[in-house]
Amino acid sequence: MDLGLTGKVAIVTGGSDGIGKAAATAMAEEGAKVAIVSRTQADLDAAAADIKSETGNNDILGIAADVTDEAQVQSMVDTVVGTWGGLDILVNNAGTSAAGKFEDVENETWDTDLGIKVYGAIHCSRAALPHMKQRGGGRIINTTTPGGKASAGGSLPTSLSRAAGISLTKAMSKDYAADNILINTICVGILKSRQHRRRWEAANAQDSSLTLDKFYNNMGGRVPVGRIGEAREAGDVICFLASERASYITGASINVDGGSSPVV
Amino acid sequence: MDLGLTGKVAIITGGSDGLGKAAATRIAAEGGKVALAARDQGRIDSAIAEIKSATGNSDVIGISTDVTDEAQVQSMVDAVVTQWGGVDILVNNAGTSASGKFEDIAIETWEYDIHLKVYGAIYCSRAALPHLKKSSAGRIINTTTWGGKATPGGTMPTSLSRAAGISLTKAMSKDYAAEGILVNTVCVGVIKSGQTERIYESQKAGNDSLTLDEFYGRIGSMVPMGRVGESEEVGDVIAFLASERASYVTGAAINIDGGQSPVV
Repeated sequence: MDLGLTGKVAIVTGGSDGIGKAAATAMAEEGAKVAIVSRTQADLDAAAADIKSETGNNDILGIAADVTDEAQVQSMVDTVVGTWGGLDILVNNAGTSAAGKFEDVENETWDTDLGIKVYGAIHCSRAALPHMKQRGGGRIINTTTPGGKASAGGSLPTSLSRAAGISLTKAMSKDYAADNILINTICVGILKSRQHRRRWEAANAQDSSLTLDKFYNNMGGRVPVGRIGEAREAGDVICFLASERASYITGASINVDGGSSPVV
Repeated sequence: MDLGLTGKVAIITGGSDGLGKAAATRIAAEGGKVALAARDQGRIDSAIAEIKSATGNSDVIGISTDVTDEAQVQSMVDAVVTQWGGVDILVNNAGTSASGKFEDIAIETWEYDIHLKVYGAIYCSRAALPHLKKSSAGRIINTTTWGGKATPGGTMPTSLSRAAGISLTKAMSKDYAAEGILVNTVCVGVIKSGQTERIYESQKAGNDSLTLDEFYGRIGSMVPMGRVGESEEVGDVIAFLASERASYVTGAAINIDGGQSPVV
């Protein structure tokens, strides 16, 4: 299926690993020009090299920026537009998932989580919008989780930030539909990523017999389809939403969770 | 993007027109084998000819079926299995949309709507499941509307049937995830189709100067994106959900509505 992404310019935050890198790879395969953004240049360089070699597409840039810093975000967007002349697609994917019981969550944890996930998306979207309007349209895809729609216990601050992300998606979709800027979210369950590898490393330090496969299998046991997801299984959905084939979808949330969410 | 649909067997109810025909066309274009189920043999035959000519794929058949009749549904599924050896994808799309204020709805109207949309999906899903279980990539996609999630006044019985369709989707997605069958729904807004054209014709009877473009233009002005949707804008999403690229998506309800729905 032709996705119509050839020559489109895309930014993916949290793009050096996991879902972000998978989305960047999928779009690069379809001929888009992709800037991946995260805090660490070395990670970006490695990821950009991977994507170029996997896809044969050399239009891949790695730009270090902290999305909680509005000036850095503006500078990053300016660099992309300066390099490729415009901007069509923004994937707000940067984020981590601190989770605990309400009273155990400290101010700093609240600030960090809201900073990266909510303000990060606000800063990036605000910087991107003028360029999308100039192009007569665009796409914003926000990565959130089903916990933002159906919040379990022990899930703060992350479920609150994700609920905020879903609300941002719906409200912005109403505000910018007339500009042909389509704004959606994917609500991801558990997919393989560096975040989870780090958790495994911590668990493995306590129990050296726990292999990565076993760790993933244990997590997968709780998912209706019986396994955790591959990053590409979210990356491909993001790529589809960024494409011409999703031209009447806006204000939508798509669960990519192997069936975990209690709600649609 | 390679959807991995080559050789997959798909049944589409309400497949001779509108969204169903668009989904069938895209799946056929991607190399799938497509069976259209609908009531009118004449419309089925036209649709088959159109799809074969548009896609160059001759694996397109049609079976006249009333989905409210369980025996006809069983016979239709048996015929597809006899033809192609199995079923991988079922698109429950047959439906109409009777809409009014509660007290104005006759019992016959309730019964007809629920039989067509709810029982139709139940009968087809029940008949297809044994075959979907044998497939390596079983998929059920139900067509519903965003009114099933966020119900305005004056929309019964259709919004009730659509809410039922969304619930059926979520519950079945939980029941069959472990068997590799993914169940999702597309929640559509106003999409061009033979059905909407027939509404136009009845309005034109009272207002001779009304053109089809004006009719669609009026409805479109109520949509955030400013226009109604094209059938392909739904058909392509159904094909994506049916594909290998949506392998971690189940229990999802994707709005395809130009931004109308108040909820994600």
